[in-house]
Amino acid sequence: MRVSLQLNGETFSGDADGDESLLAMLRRHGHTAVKEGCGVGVCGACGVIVGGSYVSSCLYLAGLADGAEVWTAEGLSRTDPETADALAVAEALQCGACSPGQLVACWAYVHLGPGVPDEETIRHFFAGNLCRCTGYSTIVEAVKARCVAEGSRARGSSA
Amino acid sequence: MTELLRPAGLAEALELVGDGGLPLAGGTAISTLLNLRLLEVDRLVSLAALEELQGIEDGPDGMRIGASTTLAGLAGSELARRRLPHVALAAGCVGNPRVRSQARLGGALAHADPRQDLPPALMVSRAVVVCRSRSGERTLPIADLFRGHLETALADDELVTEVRLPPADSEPGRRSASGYLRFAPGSASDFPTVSVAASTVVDEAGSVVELALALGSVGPVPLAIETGGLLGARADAALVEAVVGLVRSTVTPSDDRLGSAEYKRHVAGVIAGRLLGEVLGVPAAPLGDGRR
Repeated sequence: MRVSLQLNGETFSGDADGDESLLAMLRRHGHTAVKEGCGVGVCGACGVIVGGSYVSSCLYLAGLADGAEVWTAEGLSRTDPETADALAVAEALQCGACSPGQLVACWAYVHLGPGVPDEETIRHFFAGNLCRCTGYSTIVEAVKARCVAEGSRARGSSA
Repeated sequence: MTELLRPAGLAEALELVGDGGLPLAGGTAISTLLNLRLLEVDRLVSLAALEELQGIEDGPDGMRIGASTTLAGLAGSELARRRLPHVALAAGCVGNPRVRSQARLGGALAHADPRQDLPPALMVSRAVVVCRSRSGERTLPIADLFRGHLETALADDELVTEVRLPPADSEPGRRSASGYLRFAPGSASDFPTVSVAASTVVDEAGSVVELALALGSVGPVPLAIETGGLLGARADAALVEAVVGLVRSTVTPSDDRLGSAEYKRHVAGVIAGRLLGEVLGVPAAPLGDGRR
């Protein structure tokens, strides 16, 4: 089937089998910012935003994204460089395999909710994002910093 | 080649499923099975966007939750959090945020994994599942939906279209309370080793007039505990202790990587006692043989 969508703000069109995942289709077309990890929705490496929802692209059928707006780490780091910066400043990566997924998760946490700089809430949310290098603490710090920055901007704009 | 169909309405979806298409709700379970090469399918019929399956409403006849409500939508619904806090809590425990924003209530129930969070919570609230095929509609008490591990009473051409819940107990002087507790010592995204939901009504005199308890991960289907013999008892520590014993003698867990059957039987008693103590406001729930 033909799948047409808005990918990172640009028009994308490609073919996909009915049981092909969004992850497989995007990677087949060269959009390799989306990483494959576990393939069963557990690790978070393939996280994307589809139609305003944060989902695993390995569990999301490509055909269901037809007509939707899709954002990957590549697009989000362009439109929201502060999230990528927060991860870099906190040194929240080592090998980098999980980093695109962590970035999308961080963006989702800040912009789709819960958005609070509370350690337990962050750790609960990020239980779905595996990282085998950092020990998570730096990732949690980055998310916290990003929430604080976003919160003070929101307060500033409403004042 | 697999065909992916996106019907525009429920009637069309029922025709497609009646002609052999496999209903696809959120797709998290089906995609997992596809990715693991455990499932091959000719036609998938997507239900996620169907208007008829959306929405959460409350009225004098009770509550209705559309089958295509996402688990995140259920967890975040103000109405659900007020009326069925234990159900909203259980929905917010499933998997991880990505799963919750994709998976749907109807698909989760049709998947029928006995380790799921939602079934015990819905069971203690006497949920009824509405099932439709092109030849008609029927309703099932939720406990009757589950027939075995990943097996339900749904016919091949049937869909879950909504879940209904009875109106809240509004008799004056009575105190209703409910809760959900899962034991998942590894990661918050794991299935629970054991989980328990409870719903109680206590009258003015302090006697328990309703007591519903159900557990997940303790057998091939989510398990409701028969508590009829305890009704009328005072809501106190002795009642909690009696329930702990009843739970341990009823559950039939099996050995797996999360623990031995014996261990899970013990944990089932611990968390059932802890939850019931909290729900009834009874301090210091007994924890069985002294281990904590």
